[in-house]
Amino acid sequence: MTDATTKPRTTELGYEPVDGRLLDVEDLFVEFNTEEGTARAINGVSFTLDQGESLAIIGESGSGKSVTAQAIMGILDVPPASIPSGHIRYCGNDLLSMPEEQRRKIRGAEIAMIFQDALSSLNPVFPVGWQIAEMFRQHRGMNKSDALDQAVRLMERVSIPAARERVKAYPHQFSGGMRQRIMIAMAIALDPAVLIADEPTTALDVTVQAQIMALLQELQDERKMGLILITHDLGVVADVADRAVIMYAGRLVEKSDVFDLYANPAHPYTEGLIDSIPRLDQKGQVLNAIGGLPPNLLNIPPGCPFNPRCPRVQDICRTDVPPLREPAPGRLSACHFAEEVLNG
Amino acid sequence: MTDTTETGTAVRTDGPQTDETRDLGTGGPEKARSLGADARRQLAKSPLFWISAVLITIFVLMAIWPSLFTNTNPSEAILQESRALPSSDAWFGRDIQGYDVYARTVYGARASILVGVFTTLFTVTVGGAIGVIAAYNGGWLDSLVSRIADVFFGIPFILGAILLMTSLADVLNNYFGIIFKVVLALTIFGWPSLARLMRSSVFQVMPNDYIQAARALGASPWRIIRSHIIPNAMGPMIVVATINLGVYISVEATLSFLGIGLQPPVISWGVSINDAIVGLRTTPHMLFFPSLFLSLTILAFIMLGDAVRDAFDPKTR
Amino acid sequence: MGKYVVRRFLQMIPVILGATFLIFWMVYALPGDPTAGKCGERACSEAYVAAYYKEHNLNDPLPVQYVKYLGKVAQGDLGTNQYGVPVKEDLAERYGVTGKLALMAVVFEVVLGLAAGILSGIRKGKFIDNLVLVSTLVVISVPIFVIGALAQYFLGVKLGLFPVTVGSDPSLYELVLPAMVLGSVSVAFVARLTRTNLAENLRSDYVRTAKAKGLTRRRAVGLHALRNSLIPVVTFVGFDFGALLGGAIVTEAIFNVQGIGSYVYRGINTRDGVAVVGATTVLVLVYLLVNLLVDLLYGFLDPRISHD
Repeated sequence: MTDATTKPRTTELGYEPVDGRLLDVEDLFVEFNTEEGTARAINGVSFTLDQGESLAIIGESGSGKSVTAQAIMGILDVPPASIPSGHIRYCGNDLLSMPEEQRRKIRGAEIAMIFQDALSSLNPVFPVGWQIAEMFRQHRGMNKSDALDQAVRLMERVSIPAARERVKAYPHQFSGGMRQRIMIAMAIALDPAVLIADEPTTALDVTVQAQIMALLQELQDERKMGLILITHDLGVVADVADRAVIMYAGRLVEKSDVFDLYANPAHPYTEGLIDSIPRLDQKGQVLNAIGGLPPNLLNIPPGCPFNPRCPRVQDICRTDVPPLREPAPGRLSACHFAEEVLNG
Repeated sequence: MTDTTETGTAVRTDGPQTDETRDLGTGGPEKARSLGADARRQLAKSPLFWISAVLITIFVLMAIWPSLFTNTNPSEAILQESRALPSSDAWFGRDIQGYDVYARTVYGARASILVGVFTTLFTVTVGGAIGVIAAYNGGWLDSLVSRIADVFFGIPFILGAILLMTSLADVLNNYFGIIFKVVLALTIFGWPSLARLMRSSVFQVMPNDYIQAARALGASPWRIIRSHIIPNAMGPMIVVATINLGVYISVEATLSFLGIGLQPPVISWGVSINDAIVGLRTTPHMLFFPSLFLSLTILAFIMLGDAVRDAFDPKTR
Repeated sequence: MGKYVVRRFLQMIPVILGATFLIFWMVYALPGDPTAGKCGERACSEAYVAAYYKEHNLNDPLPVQYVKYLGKVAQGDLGTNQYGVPVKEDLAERYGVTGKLALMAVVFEVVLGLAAGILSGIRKGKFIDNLVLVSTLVVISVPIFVIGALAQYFLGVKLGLFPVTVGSDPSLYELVLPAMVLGSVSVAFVARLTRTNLAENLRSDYVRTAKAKGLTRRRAVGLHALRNSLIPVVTFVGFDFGALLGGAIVTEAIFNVQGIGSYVYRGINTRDGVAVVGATTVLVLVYLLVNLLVDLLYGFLDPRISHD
């Protein structure tokens, strides 16, 4: 929660949030050039992230949520990807027009990312301590033994038992939950201002999920980080996030405070997502899935991209792209009939 | 023999690996295509495939009907014209004993192709059968067969073939006998690699639920093997068998070159090359033409195997 | 790691026993006259046959024969060649040369193969990549004796860069051409293997993480990706050693290098069965040993194997 008395944190490299704002993504477009044509993966996405805030980006596979994160991090492979327009401002500085070397220094140190599958995301042939310590050796020029000490300290912070002994162990020798903690330790090593978590708990089982999310929240509070949580799991969002944006076919279709989102969605897609959560108190009912499939990004249908699957579709939906507007205070929705959705 | 299945060949990968673009094919009006149909389309588009197919056809024809390509008798030696350079009379010249090099080269295709084809046939059937039986039954049989395969793997191809051919030096010395010996030698040391391949195919298929279901319904092991395991193993087997064919021809030629493989009365490229080495400095044409044909044949098979592998590789979708 | 070493050693023993048994069976137990082909072009005299049977225990039951054979091999007794010289002595003079040749071939194979493979892997789809692909395909397809003959002709006879044949006690330079020929096919395989592995590893998740950590591209590729790519290459070089030993026979024959390979070649041509079998047995045993070492090295390189 953004606290009015939170002081802006100046980072190691000298970046300072502007009015508490860490990230400002403005009108971002990302395309991929493939043999079969140009896939329009991100189409005009805008959102912000403040210090101490948790933002959830929700969507199905193919919605563009991971691409957004990778664009912020700057790790998209630039051919075949390309960013035709848009701005990504970090503490007021546009990352997209920065020289690569300057951007690299920010990567990992100020804006960090953790990924879904910790087993494949950690290098199998180096010990975990070495991989964590690498952050200190490469970004801060620390020597090997000091860096390793820092690694142990971090492993203890993320509650890995017997850290000092296990610092020389290899990723495959840990359980799934432990590996994710190691990834988190690596990510928070240099005290970043922004942490992006791309489906951090999808590969873990439920009890471990809860522990990892609790850890993330703890770390966020402690360090006043901005947290972007990317997920398709609405259950996880409810606990941790302050605000949420829903993505579909590379567009933002709804932006709102989390409680309002669950209580009263303003977009048919969000409605569908919430309805499809199985509920303990409804026995023997058919599960409500959203019919159809996400659109082919090489060939997005005209009008609202959700129109082929929308239960409320009208003629206008097939021709006019709905703008992101405010059907009620504090609620943004890209639907021609957002008011109807809000009112039930 | 170095196991060519483990070496890398061209794996073309375009495009990024984010989830979004992996799903590019879903949704929209495209139908799902079977792997076989997809593979065939990709194969038809590949220039490697067509070049190798043409070459192989030519050489197989040469093996079956050498008279299509030449009227000259390859065993007719004109000693006075020994080492003659290429002329309108003898297109590739004559070798050291006065044989027409062109005729010998054309007739030499038969031995190499025969050895290659029969060895591949035997290694695939024998190796495949052993692999399936061992892996299907599992347990001690599998361990035993694996150890035995390790032993055969432990003896390098050429060395093993030399040993066997040396020991059999006094038996079966007619045309087909010699070819049989070489095929036998290559098969004995070649079956483990196919067996291993089949074995890993079995292990891929067996744990699946539909196999359990089939067994519960009373399907006999043979039926399971035939309907599930063999189709799954088809792709890799074809690739490996094709590439191995090229390798067998190469090894056979090497053995012939060393003097321990095919020998007269069999006409083979390896023998021709061996005979021609002595004239390397002055009359290299005797060496050049059989070498060219031999290399092109091997190249054709290996290219074909490569092309088939690329077509079947799901990563190049 | 210690457990892993012991385990590999123990696994090696049945393979060595099996391989020696196979060799023994092929040489002594196949139907037919065992002395055939051992006396040059002529049939052997009766006295020779009797002595041969006695020396090789051919009157004993098969298992006993094998055990006695093993005992002999373990002591280095590989029989006597057709000229009456113990094979062991013949080989003793030749180890050095073949060893040098093989080592040079391995160095050539690793250095050139890795370089070509890395260049090719980083610049996938570009000119250098296609060049490497095509040239390796050609080299793999052309049999080693053809490559040898061609190299001898063009680089030796025509261009005079290297001596055409190598006599006894060759200098290192004289061995360069044979070593390059010997290693040529292996270079092609190493290059292709490195290329595929590197290309795959460059797309892997942990390289993505390395980039996300803000490491330089050089470090992400040169350290993280490459280290993983090396493992299968090292294993390959080890197993390829067997092909190298086989290829040494051809190379030494063409370039007249006085090593173990040409000893086998000469034995084949003079129908000296004992010499051929003895030398080949030694080569097989060397190969098995090298394989064991490579297995151990592999465990050292890949912690997933050695740290269970």
